[in-house]
Amino acid sequence: MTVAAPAAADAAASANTVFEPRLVAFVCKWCTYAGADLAGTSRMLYPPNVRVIKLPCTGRIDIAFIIRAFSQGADGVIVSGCHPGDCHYSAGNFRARRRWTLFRDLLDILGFDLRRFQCAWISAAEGTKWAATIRDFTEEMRALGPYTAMRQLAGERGAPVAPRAAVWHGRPARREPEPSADPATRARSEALAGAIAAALTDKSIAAAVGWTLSPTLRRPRPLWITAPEEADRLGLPGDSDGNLARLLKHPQLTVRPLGMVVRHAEMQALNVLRQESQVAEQDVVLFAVARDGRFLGRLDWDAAVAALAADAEGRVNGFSPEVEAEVSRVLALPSAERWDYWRTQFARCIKCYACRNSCPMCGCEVCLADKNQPQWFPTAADGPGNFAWHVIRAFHLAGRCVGCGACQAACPAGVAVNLLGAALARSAAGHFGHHAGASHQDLPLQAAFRTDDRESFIK
Amino acid sequence: MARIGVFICHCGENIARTVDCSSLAKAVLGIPGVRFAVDYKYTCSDPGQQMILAAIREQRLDGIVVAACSPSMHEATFRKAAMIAGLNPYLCEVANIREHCSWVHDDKPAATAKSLDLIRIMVEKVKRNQELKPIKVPITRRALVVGGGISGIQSALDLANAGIPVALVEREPSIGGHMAQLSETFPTLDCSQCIMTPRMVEVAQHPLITLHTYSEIEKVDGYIGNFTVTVRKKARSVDLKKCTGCGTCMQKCPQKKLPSSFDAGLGQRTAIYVPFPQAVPNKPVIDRANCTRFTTGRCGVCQKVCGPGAIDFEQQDELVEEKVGAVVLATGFQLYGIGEQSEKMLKGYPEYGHGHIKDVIDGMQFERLASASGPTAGEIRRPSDGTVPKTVVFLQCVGSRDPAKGISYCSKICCMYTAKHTILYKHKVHDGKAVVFYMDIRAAGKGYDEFTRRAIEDDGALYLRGRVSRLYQDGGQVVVSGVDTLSGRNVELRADLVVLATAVRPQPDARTTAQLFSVGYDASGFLNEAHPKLRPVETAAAGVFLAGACQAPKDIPESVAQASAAASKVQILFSKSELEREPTVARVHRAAPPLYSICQGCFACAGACPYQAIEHEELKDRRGQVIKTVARVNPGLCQGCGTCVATCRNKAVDLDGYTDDQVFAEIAALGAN
Repeated sequence: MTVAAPAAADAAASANTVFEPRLVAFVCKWCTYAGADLAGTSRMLYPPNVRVIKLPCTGRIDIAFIIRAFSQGADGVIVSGCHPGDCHYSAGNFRARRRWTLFRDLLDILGFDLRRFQCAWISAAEGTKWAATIRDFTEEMRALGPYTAMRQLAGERGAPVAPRAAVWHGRPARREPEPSADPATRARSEALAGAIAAALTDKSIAAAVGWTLSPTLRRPRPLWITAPEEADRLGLPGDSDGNLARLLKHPQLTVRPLGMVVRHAEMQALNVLRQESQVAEQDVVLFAVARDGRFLGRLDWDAAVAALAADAEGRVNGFSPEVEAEVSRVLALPSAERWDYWRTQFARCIKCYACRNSCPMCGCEVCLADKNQPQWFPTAADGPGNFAWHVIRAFHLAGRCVGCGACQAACPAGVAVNLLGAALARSAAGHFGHHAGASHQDLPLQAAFRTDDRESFIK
Repeated sequence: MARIGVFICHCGENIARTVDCSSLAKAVLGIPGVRFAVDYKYTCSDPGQQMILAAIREQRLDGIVVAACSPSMHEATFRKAAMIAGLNPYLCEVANIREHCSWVHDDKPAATAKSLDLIRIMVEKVKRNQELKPIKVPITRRALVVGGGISGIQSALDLANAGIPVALVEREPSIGGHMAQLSETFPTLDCSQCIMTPRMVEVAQHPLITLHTYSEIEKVDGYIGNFTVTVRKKARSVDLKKCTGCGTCMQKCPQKKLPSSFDAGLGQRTAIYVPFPQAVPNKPVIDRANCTRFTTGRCGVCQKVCGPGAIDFEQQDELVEEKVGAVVLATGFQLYGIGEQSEKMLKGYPEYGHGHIKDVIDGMQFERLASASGPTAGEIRRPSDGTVPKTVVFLQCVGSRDPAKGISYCSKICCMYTAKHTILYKHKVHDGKAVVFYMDIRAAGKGYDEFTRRAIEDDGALYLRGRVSRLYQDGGQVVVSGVDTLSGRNVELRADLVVLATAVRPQPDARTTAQLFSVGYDASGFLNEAHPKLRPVETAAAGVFLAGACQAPKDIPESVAQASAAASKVQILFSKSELEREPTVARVHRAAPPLYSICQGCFACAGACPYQAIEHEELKDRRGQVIKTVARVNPGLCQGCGTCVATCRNKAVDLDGYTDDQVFAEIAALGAN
């Protein structure tokens, strides 16, 4: 592909002093594109560093476009559209605004310099504002210098997998006691097994999924049963990080109604799945188990949510205190150190997609990562590929991740995948009062909006 | 391999001054897929277009990029040229190197390099463009008009006279609206009912108009060309088919002392009533909230005296479905503080004592006093004691133009109708004195300024520029305490009657109406037009038009003009048998075997769609078993914003014309170094 030297580079070569940044603008065609037209008809001069990509609405701007622009060498990206209330499509920009808030918080924990990503409302009448915004942005980026962090990721791969002891699992290492060891535990799991056996006998469920102690792992692992006599193999989940709700998304496992042993994390996940029409109330029969192992009974949906609510105590947005503490620690680092932290983390990733497969929310039949027309992420397990994967994965879980920690437990390389989810859960709760899985009636975070959502960051 | 042609326009000197077009044309040839590139002085001119036509044919181009002015200027021109040459118009793109480049930069090498980038973006996009065909939507050639005031009547008659069947929905028992209540109209002083009632009768008799009075809109489904509107016909308790309108029931009804809302609370009516003698339909309705039969279960006199047996106490609300292709909203306005006696207090104006002082009335009440069909048969008599007031004070801008009281806009009609009131008053009470407090006299309109001058100069109304701080009762009179800002003096007048020109406000349920029809509304609650200047009767919802004061305060001529404009917009829409829409709409993935979609059915897109364009579709196997429920975009409703695409996690939905593939290619085109 023949490539002409960019305008900026030409100018830089001749002046040999000033750095000329490359700026990309994603704008809506009704307001900002027309505002830029007006700047033209009014002959307002501004630096030639910006390249405009026209879209119908700010609502169309995918965060993947922004990431791609940076990885293609942009030094700054600006997104702009109609002022709130003026959207040609009445509310596309309200959705965009929410998305930008979440995306900025995600970039923030990654240690990305937020000055390089600007948001603005520029109407068709604001040619002056467009010219001034581009002028200021160009100046700011000239002063900031070239953006190299994303490009440096290229070729970074295969950082040594952390030694087993150092792998971050978001909680202290521990072993489960043997079920037979404690008579109280034994009695509890017998009550649970009895209820499930009864349900299988009276055919109110076609199959059940619960937990059993793996003799090799010496930890609970999921167990499917279809006959009452198998029920005595069932044990208690303990605080296993797996989330049984993920089994509902499996296209082959279409047995309904399905009995399920649910803890707080499963119930939260079920709420989100029900919001998203992935499970119906009649599809599952719930056998609730409290954190301390008490069997709370075969409960209907709302009763199970209420009965398990107490288990949220001590957790923040569903996440364990250990994860929360780590998020706070990372956020307190200077941004350059944050970026380095994540570079090390992502360099470890081998793209096995265990995080995706263990997640109760990641339920797409064809994942974006598996699509190649267009190619959404670089497929290689290297710096840019891993960065795009983890950022987009985290963003897809914004407002949906219930903090069960299944991904964290599944990651063989000990990448701190859970932290991004926790940071976004903070953002969702802080800015929008949204708590993933709080109720099956909530609107999806990224589809809903309020006209008074925060926008102090938008110029 | 693509065969793209690039045409670089000099736009005279406009582009060529700052962009080196000929070297640009050479550089463009280096972009993969570009087979042909040329620069030309005026590409939009006829020879310019002929050049494009020839190049497409001779070079067998399968896509073109015109680097010229903004696409808002000439995209349509170039697409048409492409179409004439046999190329699908959506395979033509415009690179904006004038407004976004040559006009805003002065450094020629930099502007030339930027132009090359802008062209490269568009070349990469056009390589991935699909041949799109305009979406054809069938049209139901029948219209719905909501509101039976003068605007709704005008729209309905215009449409029906053009041969289009119309359903007219009015929530009151009779059509006529506010105009039927007026005595005379400015600036000609012709009797309102004399010009209004013939139109009402015309509506009732028109074979193409279906009239639903005492009815409200319950539900709206569908989209432009194909709306299904559910109308709730409220139980009238009178069978309209049997009733002859003889009026015996009203004469015999024992419940006679209910305030008549038609007479703005000044007159009285029975519990079974027609709102006014010229009502259309001229058949009564039972006010169930106040009828003795319904409140106590006893009575039933009307049923006994009704010859044809039309009274039906058991009648239920009825839901009627109207299938229409277009909607005209003419839902009108309310006056600030209008309502039943008990709610008459003007919120924010306790100092005017409205509702407490009997002789402080609003403009509509004065209309009824002046009307020959009103409670005083046209004699100006004040409500407290029925005497003829010798001094009448009129206060303008009560509520209007007062942000502190919540309304910042001008209600537009009050200056004129106050002038009219003074004239009507002076014509009826020759020795009376009319005093007007005003802020500014806004009399822009044909014959309007002459009219206000006439009130002042010929009929001797005293106009004082200033505001009134307080009204209070003193003996049999109302003391008006105000200021005359021109002389700078405080003024205290003793009035027999005070008339408040209260603000025009949106209907109390205007927002509900707006939401039903997906139409925007402003901060006050007036319905929003699509563009304040160029599309004043269209709305953001395709196929829904506005007429009259539901959009903003308007007088009768303006309302009628807009109503006719809305009717003609509907006729334009109906002039074709099928509707053609821009094909840049969203599409949910479908594939073999035999019908499959990667859509997960989470319907996040449905939550994000501003147009309710996302439908559910069941994918079934060969035995008819539902495999899964997935999303489907209704192309008739989709406006192509693409919010669903950015919301969809696995990109099961894409937007034609702005696909993910295209956008990524555009970004990649920038990754030059």
